[in-house]
Formats: sequence, C-alpha cells, structure tokens
Amino acid sequence: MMNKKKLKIIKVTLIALFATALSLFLTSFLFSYLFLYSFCFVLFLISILFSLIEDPQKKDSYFLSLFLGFWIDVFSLYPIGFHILILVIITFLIKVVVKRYVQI
Amino acid sequence: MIKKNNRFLFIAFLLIIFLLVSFFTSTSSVIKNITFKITGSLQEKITKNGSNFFETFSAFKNTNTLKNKVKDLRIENKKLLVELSKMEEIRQENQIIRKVVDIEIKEDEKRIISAVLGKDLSGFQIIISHSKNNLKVGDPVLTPEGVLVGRIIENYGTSSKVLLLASKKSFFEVKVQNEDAPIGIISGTEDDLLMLDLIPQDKKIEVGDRVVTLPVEETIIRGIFIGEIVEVIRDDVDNFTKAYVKQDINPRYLDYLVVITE
Repeated sequence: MMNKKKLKIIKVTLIALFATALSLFLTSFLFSYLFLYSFCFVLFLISILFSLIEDPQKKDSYFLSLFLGFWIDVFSLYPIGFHILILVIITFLIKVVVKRYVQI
Repeated sequence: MIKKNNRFLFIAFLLIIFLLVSFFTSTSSVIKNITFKITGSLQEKITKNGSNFFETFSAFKNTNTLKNKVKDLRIENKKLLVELSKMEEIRQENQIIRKVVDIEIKEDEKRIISAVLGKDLSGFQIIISHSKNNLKVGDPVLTPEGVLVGRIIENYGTSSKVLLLASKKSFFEVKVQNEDAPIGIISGTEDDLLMLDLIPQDKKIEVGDRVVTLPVEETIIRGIFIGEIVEVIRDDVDNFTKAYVKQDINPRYLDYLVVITE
C-alpha cells in the first residue's frame, strides 16, 4: 500500500518535471524559433495525445494536463487556471469517449 | 462512474473558483512573479545557450553571405567613424550652447539592464527579468546598442512583459530625421519590417531616412533610434504617404535588453 503511494508520488513528480522541462525548453531554448501560439499548440497536442494513449482507467494524464495548463497560463496573459481548466476538461472528455466508444 | 464524474465535477468546480479568484484579484500576477523568480536564472541560461547554438548554426549555413556582410560592414564602419567624429564635435558645441542659453540637461533617466527570459504565447511579447522593482508600464526597452525594441506592458515586480514593436498592437507617434522632419505613426506588421503611416503627402521622406521617437507620452524619451526607411509607398488617392522601416534587429539573438526609466 505504502509502495503504491510512493510510486504515485514519484510518478506525479516526474510528470511535473517533464512538463516544466518541456515548457522551459520551448519558451527559452527554442525561444526564437517558435511560431505564433506554437508553444500553446505543442503543449495542447502532447496533453491530448497522452490522454488518448493512456489507459482510460488511469489518471496520470489529468496531472499532465494540470501542469502543462499551468505553464501555458504562466506564459500567457490569461489568469492562472484558465488553460488548466480547458486541458482538464478536454482530458476528461477524451477519457469518457475512449472508455465508452473505443474498444481495444 | 457517477461517483467518478462527481469527483471530476468537484475538481472542475474548484478550478473555476480558483480561476474567478485569480481573475478578480492579483493572485495571477503574484504566482507568475514567484514562478519567474524560481525559474528565472535557469531560463536565462537556457535562452543564452539556445541563441548561441542557433547563432553558430546559422553562421555555418551562411558563410559566404557573412563574408560579404563583413566586407560591407567594415566599409560602413569606417563611414560611421567619420560621422561619429563629426557628431562628437556637434555634441561638444551643443553642450556649450546649452550652457550659454542656460538649459538644464536632463539626466535623471536610469538605464536598467535586464535579461531576456523567454517568449510569450503571442510570439511578439518577451519576458525580461530585472533586479530593481521601479519599472513602470510604458517604459521603453532598448537593445544594448540603443535601438528601441518595445515597451513594458506588464510589470510583475522583478520581471516584466515587453510588447515588441513588431506586434500589430504596438503603435505610437514618431519623427523622421530629415529637413522636413515629418511626424507619423509607426506600427508593427508581425514581420521583419515596421509600417510608418499617416505622413502628410507634402512632407518629403526618402529611403535611408532615420526614424526616432517623439516624447508624446510621459515614459517616452526623445530621439531613441527605431530604424531606417527602406521603402516609401506614395498613393495619389491617399492623402498620406506610407513607408516601411527596417530595424536590423534579430530578436533571436537578444540576451540582454536595457530599460529606460525615470
């Protein structure tokens, strides 16, 4: 039980690190080569792809959406929470659709 | 399933509440400032490495062009040195005249060096970090060489957001440095060139004329160099002349900027 909890904490930390590293890489290293809104587009795409690939029963993609949404908010003029909400809702809808209508 | 949906709705509700709170209070700015403070130094390093990497890469790609450019620049440099010496003479003369007519030379402007942290979503806003907290919205942001690149639109404390001149949202009055000294409005085109508009038809402008700022607002200082006119568009139907202004600044390679504040 303890191990499962520990594993989950490690997983969430890794997801947070991944989202942070990706966002900083896109906004800093590729700073000059980013097209208009491409940063937002790339992070949205990653979140959607992860939600589609992941097992519908698992919840890791929610955490990824949360962290990616946070970074989009930080680098945009919108208040913190705006893109988090959009991404979490998109993830939820994808999960529901995949669970109900897609059979693997 | 219903339980899970309820849990999701509860989380979504909490997020909406948080969104509303951050929308109506300054929570967002505080969070953004803390985030930039934590990641600032790291971002600064990554941005610098990134621009160095791409600069080296592009140098390899355009060796021949660079050789020609170096030749041209050497010639231009010599011409500029001659012009500089003339200017220095004029400056000294000007100082003497100012003393004679007893005009105070305004020297209360401060120049603050800021590091470029990253780019905003729109692509025409950049985030800079600075040690001092006394910058104002509207303060002009220059390259270290003194070319205007944009103005501060949001200040988070020790970091600020800068709207670049290339953005379509950026427009203000400027002056062309020639005999007629016409005044027009410069705006971004979201491309390499800036658009200079609303210049009266009877005023003369030519390719190569320099464009500088006018002190129309409190925060703008007179005579900051913006760019050179590269194309003049005259239309008989229109009452105004348009022109394209080139800045010769590549935002890719901006690591540090200078903010002028009073």
